[in-house]
Amino acid sequence: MRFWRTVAETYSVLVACALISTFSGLLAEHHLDLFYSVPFLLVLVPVINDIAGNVGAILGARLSSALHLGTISRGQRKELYFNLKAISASSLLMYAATSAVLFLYLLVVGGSGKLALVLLVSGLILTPVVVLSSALLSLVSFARGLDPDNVTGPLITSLCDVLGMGCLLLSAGLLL
Amino acid sequence: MERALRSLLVQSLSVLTLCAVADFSAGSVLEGMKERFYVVPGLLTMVPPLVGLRGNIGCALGSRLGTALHLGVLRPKLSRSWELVGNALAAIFLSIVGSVTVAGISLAVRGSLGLSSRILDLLGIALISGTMAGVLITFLTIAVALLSFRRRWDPDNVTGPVMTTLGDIITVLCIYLVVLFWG
Repeated sequence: MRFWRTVAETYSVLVACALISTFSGLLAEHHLDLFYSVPFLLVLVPVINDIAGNVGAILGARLSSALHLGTISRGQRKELYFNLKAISASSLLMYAATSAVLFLYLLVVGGSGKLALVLLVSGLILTPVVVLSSALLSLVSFARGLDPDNVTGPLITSLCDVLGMGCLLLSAGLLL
Repeated sequence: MERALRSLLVQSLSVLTLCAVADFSAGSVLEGMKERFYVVPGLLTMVPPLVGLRGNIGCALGSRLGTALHLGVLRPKLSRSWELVGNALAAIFLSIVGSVTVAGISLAVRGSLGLSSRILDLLGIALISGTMAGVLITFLTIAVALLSFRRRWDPDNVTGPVMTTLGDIITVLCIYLVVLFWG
């Protein structure tokens, strides 16, 4: 029956994603004291993770279409490099803009402007990591005969939960 | 600027901006429940997988509805057709089973690392908040898919980003509410 097929197909992806994301939560709970002393870091968690997740998912979907269309292949790398550059620019712009808005907000409410810097630095570290892992996931899954549309999107968002949390903790450790 | 690059930047940046605004709200809810993470060890471990779960289920439902609408198998109005009811039931069923799975994975991973967790609390919080959020998000996804198709927007472009973002806020709010009344 179609009901069970939908359930079974979606469920296997969900389990894989849940397993990966659990490590993001575990990492956060391990540093609970840091989050408790600087609670605003918790506000940054969804922001950092979701920008990266969206960037990775958009890049994955675009590369998947290009691979299916054949505009990216062994001899043709132009489209690949164009996407990598454009998406990296998009991601950096996004982190810079969000940090700027956050900085203004913190000025108004009288918070520490360092928190905006934490967001910016996390974004700077995270962008190349996400762009490269999304591209790698798409290219490798396509080369193995899998459809990158089904693989990259869900996996990269979960992976970004872990990577984003790691980058946030790293830049908070460096700056605070 | 090149035209392809410009349209890519404009489209992806507008979606990203909307999501960032919503993410700040979800993050503020998390900030508001910081004490609770001490009271219920393991709760914070479950937050990212629970939030991701809802986004994934909403996205998959949205893209299935989008395909059915494009194929003409589903008409853009509320009906008792199996295409709509079956998909909605599958999403709600997956929310319930998925929430229990998330709690199970968290417990298993924490257990294997030698961390203690309160099993019944985590299972209960995951199940109740997950089911609440799942039902809400299923209905919202259907509304967004049908309405956007009626307005001649491509549901495939709309439901994905909208549902991952709304899914974040709704799930975090549901976890917050359940934890508030859990005691």
